[in-house]
Amino acid sequence: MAEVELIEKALKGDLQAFNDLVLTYQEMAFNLAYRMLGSTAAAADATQEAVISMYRKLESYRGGSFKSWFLRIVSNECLDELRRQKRRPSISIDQENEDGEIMESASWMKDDSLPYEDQISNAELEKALTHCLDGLEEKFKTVIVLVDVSGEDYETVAGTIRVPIGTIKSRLARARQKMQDCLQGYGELLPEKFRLSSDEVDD
Amino acid sequence: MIKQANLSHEDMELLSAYLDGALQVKEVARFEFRLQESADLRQALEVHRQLQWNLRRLPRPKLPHNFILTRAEAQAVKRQKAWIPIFSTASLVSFLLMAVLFVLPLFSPAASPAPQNLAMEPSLSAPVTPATAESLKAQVVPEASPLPETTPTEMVPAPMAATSNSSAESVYIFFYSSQVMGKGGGGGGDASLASGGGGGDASLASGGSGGGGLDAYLYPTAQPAGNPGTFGNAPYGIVVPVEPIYGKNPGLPQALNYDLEQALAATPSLPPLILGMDLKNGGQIISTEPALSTFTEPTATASTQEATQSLSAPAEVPLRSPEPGLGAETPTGNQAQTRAAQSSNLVNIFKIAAGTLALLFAGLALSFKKR
Repeated sequence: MAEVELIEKALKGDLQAFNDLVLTYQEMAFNLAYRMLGSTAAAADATQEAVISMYRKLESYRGGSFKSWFLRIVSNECLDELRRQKRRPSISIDQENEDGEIMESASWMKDDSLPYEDQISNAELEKALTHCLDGLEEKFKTVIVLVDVSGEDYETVAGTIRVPIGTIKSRLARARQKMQDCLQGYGELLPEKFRLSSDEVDD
Repeated sequence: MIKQANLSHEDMELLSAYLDGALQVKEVARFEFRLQESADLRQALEVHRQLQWNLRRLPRPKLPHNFILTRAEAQAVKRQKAWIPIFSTASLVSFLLMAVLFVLPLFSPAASPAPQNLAMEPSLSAPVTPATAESLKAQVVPEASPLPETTPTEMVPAPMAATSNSSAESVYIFFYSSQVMGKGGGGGGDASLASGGGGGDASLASGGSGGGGLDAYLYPTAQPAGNPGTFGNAPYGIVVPVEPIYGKNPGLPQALNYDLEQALAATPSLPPLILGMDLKNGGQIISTEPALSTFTEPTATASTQEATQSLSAPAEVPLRSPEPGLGAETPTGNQAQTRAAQSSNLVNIFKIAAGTLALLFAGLALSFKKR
């Protein structure tokens, strides 16, 4: 059944049509929530809340991209959850160095005892990327997750977070630059292409 | 190792958009030309491409369960939804009520005049019982009665008890008089009512006790205290124990003695000076307690001591009598003020309650909306 038809039926109160729409987009929604929140349980809660919220607000849907509308509700739920987490801070994964200072990057995760070749693994890279994503500000994280992780185009993202495309471009460029800066903390853990150096000149 | 490229934010934006295929055709051509020229740009582009590729490769978590709604969940959502308009409307109504409570007093005619007018105004329409000069003389205190040593302000707390205890035998008289007669109006009620009282002419009023003030009292007076006054042949006197506004003797209140008939005759042409009363009504009793009909005039022989005792304690003179037919339905100044204060307090309570309810309902509506 076409999406438009499902939406019309859902608007008339057809729960089955609504659930079909949920099934269509739930994986994408959950993935976004997971990358925003960094936890499967929190992502599941946020996605469920978003679905309930979407059902309640269904009458306010005024056409346009249903996917953007759904993703907007999910991202709002995630932002609310992130704010709640800030009000109730949990144990940080940041570690203290020998001087007792909090280290800004996740370079503490590297294990120097391992051979160099073994350090470069997909698991390590994933940890580094996840940690750097978590360290981004919400507005940058939302954009980079939607564009680079979920693969959405600028228009969808602009519709999702309700900002102009120009703002999306700007935020995305900053988010990528911040990610790159963060990944520098991992140094040689990363593939050579990630290793940027300001003190060495490339030949 | 790749050198950290020193690129401007504009370059990074172009690079980022180029990577996502979001540049216009002309912009693409220009950027590709720059790419050929700049090694930094090429390196940064490569790094960003790698980053994007790795982000896309991040594993997608497995769904823990489907997120569809059951029929029961959907009904629960609808039930919650039904409360939203109710709370919103209730909140709106409460806000409107609060606004009305705040705004209404500004347009109320009762808000513009001073509060004392509320108390004094009814006296103009209150029935006035005519009284002759003789009956007035009979109701005043014997000449030999001693003047209480307490000052009038000290007597203020006592009157209610005195009134209740001696209401059967005591008569309270309130006079409206003219300025020339020098009796002072002696407005009832509290200081806010003082404007209703006419000022007495001190020169005629044996020390001057004009001016309205707090509640006026009747009590035995030392009649010859100070100047017996122009009309000093009267056996009784009236004391208005308030702070005189002006006069020769601003200290203790003095006994005022007068002959009402002479006083009336002496002031035929003056316009009404007190509360717009006609001059011919000056000196008449407008309020008695108990009513005149039930009052037994004391005889000169038997009642002298009795009257002294009954009037030795200061008794409050009400502005109007509570007796039916004597303006009982109209409150005294104090009562009117008390009622005004009570009603003001009530309005304030309503304002607070309406505001609280508005906030409560708004909070509930928002809470249900959020859920």
